Amino acid sequence: MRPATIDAIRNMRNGSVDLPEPVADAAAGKGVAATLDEFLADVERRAFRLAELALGHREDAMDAVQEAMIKLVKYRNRPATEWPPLFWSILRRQLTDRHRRNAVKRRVMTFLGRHEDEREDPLEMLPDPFEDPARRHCDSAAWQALGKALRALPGRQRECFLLRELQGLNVAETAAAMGCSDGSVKTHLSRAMSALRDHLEDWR
Amino acid sequence: MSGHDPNDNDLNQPRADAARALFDRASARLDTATANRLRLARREALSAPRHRPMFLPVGAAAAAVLAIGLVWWLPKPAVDVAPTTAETSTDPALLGEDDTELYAWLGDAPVAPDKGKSETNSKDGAL
Repeated sequence: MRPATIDAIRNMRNGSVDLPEPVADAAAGKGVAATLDEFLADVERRAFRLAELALGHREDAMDAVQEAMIKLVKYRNRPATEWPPLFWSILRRQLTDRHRRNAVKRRVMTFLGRHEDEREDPLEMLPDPFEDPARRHCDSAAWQALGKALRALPGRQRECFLLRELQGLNVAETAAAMGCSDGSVKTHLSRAMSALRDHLEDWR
Repeated sequence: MSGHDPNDNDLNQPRADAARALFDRASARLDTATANRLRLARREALSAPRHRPMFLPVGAAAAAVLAIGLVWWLPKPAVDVAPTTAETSTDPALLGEDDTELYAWLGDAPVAPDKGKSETNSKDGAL
């Protein structure tokens, strides 16, 4: 558990500017980025993939990541150690808002008798033409299944699984990003894992 | 948490690791077009001005000052202090015992004829 990392998000919410002691970038498993550009370059791909899984729509995912970048830039004067928790917290809120809006949009479309278009293109995921086609097809199918199963989870369980299991944040960092306690993270994660048990079997 | 065996998580962890490996591969092998768009989005975000203009707060403050000034300087509307029915009906000074007799006397009192009107009538009669 890294109190300084956790305090970064709490300070953001409280408007405080207390400077935490240097900590490693747990999200990327690297040292602290020297510049904001370097930090964003490190996390942008994973952020996009995480948003894509959560939203099921590449354009929405791109918008969410871009918006998170813009919001993070407002905190560019904060110490670099605060950027990772701030960024994931901002992105999580973006995903929550957009997921809620998409749910309302789907209900309206269903009420109007229109079906949402299939907006995902699995072939865009793995562009390497020299890769084994069978492996590529397998990964693409697993990716689609993973996203579909995650989007069927309750919001808090989905966020917890994405941040804790896929992004690799520890419990305290996940709790800080989600604005809840460590115990709540463990509860959400346990429920998510139970709900995903059947799907996870297919991804082995 | 009830209903969940802690061992379930241990059993599921290798599967979750597989999902994470899939996520890592997908992140590493992002298509070129999307990667370029992300790079462009990053540059646009970083090129944004550091300090946003404070038009909205200044405008809101000016509107608030104007509203307070108007409320302060505008004349207050006149307040009619009309006596209530209860006050008039319960005032003992206005409820004299002689009121009934007074109104009866006024009704029976002879009315003085209008001087101008009586002269005109007399002239009409003469004609």
